[in-house]
Amino acid sequence: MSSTGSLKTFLKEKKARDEESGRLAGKEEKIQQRLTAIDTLFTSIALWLKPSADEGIVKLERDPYSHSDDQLGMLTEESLKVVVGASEVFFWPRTGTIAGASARVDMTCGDRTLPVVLLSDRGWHFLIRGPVTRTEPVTEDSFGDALREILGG
Amino acid sequence: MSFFTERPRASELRQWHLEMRAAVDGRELEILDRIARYLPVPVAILGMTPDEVAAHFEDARRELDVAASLLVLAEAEAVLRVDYLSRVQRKGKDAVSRAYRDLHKAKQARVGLDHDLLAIWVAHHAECKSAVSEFRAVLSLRHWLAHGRYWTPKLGRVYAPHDVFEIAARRFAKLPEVTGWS
Repeated sequence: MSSTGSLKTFLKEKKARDEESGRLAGKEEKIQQRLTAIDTLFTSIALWLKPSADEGIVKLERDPYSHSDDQLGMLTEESLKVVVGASEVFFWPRTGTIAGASARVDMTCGDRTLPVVLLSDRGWHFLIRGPVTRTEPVTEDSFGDALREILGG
Repeated sequence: MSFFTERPRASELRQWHLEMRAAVDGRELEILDRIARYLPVPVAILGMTPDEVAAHFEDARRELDVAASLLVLAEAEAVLRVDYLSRVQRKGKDAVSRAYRDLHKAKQARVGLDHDLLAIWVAHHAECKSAVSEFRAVLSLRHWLAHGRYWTPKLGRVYAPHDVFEIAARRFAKLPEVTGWS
């Protein structure tokens, strides 16, 4: 076992390496940006579904969602569940460096998943994979289409 | 019959496969570098997690491998069929050429690779039996690939393109005077 002194040295070096590699740079800011962006998306969805929620047709549940990110460490963010009858559509943030995007939330229902990516200066977009991958801005209309599709309507 | 002589040789197919593999590896490294530096990526990669990027390029390598295996097996078949038709034209006196001529009278060019051509080789050259058996096993892979992989194959082992090339090469090394495999 290492002595307390050598452990301290190890931790000091680890901290220095992370600072040098830029892993710490803007960490808190990045976490806050993710939280804000996810909140914006979920708040928009809640707004678009409000008429149905008010009539008890759908139920929305926002819950803390903890997961680990290589760069940002343990994160406690939010997930959103939209309950329609016996079906549940689950929105959950993904960690890791997302290619070409600053964040990603997956919209999942059963074995169907539709990724939603946050593109720099362009906001949230659905990522529609097919022979040609394309993106579609998340709007009330496109969200409605996505929800219908993922629920098998 | 005149033969199409501009087919790529087996060694050229092997080289092509190695170069395409290197290109896929290079592309993966380039994409990973762009992701690490938060640069734009091709739309096909957009939104992928690190695991998905790895799976994407692994799929590309696997598809390249099966394409290369199929091309090598097709070339091996072409060499054997050209040898068959050449032996029929040359009217050679060896046992295989005689058997081929009888086969040609009955079936012309519509002969089966396995149960006609390879069967004749095994019947007249017992020493090639082991190499032909090994090749026959890999023909299951060719059959599966050529018919669109719509069933789950029982191949008995995994065949990398390098294995396929080596098996075909071993078979041709055991077939006397069959030229064209290089």
